[in-house]
Amino acid sequence: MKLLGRIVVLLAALQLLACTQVQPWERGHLARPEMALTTDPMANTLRSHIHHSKEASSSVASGSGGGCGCN
Amino acid sequence: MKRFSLSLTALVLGLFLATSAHALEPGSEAPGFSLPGIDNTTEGAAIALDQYQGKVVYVDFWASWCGPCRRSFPKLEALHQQYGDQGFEVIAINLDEQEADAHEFLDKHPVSFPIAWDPEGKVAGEYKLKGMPSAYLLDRDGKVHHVVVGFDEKKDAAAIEAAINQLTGE
Repeated sequence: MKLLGRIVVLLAALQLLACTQVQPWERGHLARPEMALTTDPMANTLRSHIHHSKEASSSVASGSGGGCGCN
Repeated sequence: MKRFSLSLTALVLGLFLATSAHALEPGSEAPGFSLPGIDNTTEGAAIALDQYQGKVVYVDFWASWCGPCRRSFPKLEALHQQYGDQGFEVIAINLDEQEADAHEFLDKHPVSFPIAWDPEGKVAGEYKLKGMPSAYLLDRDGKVHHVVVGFDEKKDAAAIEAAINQLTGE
């Protein structure tokens, strides 16, 4: 039973081999508009601004979201 | 069990370390490359870095989906026009998977410098890009003089022009 547990952990660890960093030049698909967190970044920023002013708090979320690692 | 978990930790740590890479620093030799040219070059001819020996070369990595690349092209074209006769060259390496995407971009942002195509990102991997766009200004000896990550019209454009001015004058 103990051996089975070890095998399961080892197999799970092997899955990590599939994990890889998405390189900056591979973000073409992530940069597509449908991959963005919101459909309208400007409306989202405005809503977030109003929300946080009413709550008298500050946001920890970044304004507009997209997958492109561009500056 | 203790030894097993220890080796498991080492394995996971090793995987993290394997993915981290150091970018090219100023002063290091620029990796050579030979890529198919897709625009502003002889049909079917390759664009190789060693064809540009003795010149000040601006190697720019870009893609059609990258916003700052769009803004950088007019500036690069202006610099190419201005410093071209002083031995300054631009090589723009496109990293789109589809060649058509690159041509669509180039139709909207026409330039006169050669465009190379690296769809698998092989050369981008050798230069270890940190962001898009990334550019490497090489001196006449083929060494990296200046690294630009991203593109800011005010800050980066002035710094690039100053560096080109200095290098072409040497």
